[in-house]
Amino acid sequence: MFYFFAILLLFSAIIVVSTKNSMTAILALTGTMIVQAFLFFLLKAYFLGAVQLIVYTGAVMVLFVMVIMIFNNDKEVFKIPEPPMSVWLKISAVAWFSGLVSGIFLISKNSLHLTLVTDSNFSNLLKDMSINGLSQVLFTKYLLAFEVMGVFLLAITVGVISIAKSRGGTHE
Amino acid sequence: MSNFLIAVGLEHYLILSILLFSIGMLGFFFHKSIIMLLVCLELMLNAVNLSFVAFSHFANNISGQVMVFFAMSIAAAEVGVGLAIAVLFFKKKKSFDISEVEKIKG
Repeated sequence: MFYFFAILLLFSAIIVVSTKNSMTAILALTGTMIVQAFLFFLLKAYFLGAVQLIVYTGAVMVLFVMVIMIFNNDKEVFKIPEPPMSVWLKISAVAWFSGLVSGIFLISKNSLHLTLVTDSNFSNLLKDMSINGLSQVLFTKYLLAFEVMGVFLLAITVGVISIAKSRGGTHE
Repeated sequence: MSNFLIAVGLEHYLILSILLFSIGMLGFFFHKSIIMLLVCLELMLNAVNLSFVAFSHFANNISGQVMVFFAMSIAAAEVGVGLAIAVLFFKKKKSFDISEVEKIKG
């Protein structure tokens, strides 16, 4: 089951970055999000899977699709940059990065299980990782962060509206 | 090796997360359009979210899921602001090309 979803996820992610058409990329990204929600379900994070489906495939993708459809320009995207050295530089940078991370991970694999600390205060009610346990933690331990997130979202809303209402510049 | 293939553990999810992040990073480096840059950013954010949830599941600690919850809210806000800026940029420059940003003054 994991391998099925993993292959599907990587396949759609490769489609996202390699396609020339923006709309295809957005739809493949939607597929990526849906598959990742299924991976969350597989990891027993049911609430996060639902939130992933609602927020990403619902809200964010609609935003992307709306912008693409309003401002439809399909002549650019995926130009290989002019100096050919730069291409290999970028590819090798990504390869170095992923190799570094996986190398660190493989080296520390034996000690990884020791460093995983279980939250002892809440672990008795978190056996099944249910939405009940999530809300218990969210509204006690992380209550301040939750409130700050609410204020932050309000500020973002006001900021986006002011950006959208402006005429593109302060002096026009 | 066969044991590694059959029993899916934390390592598998982390490797998948690294691969997804690298794909997003590759796309981020090679695309020119602001929209596609935001899309690749989403891909990388989701890779990190996946690793958070995997850690949370295998460490039996739910704080990771709370972090993913916050990361999702911030990602949604970031996409909103990014797309608003992209629309504004398109109105001014008639293009989504990121190299046009270099010519901005003031």
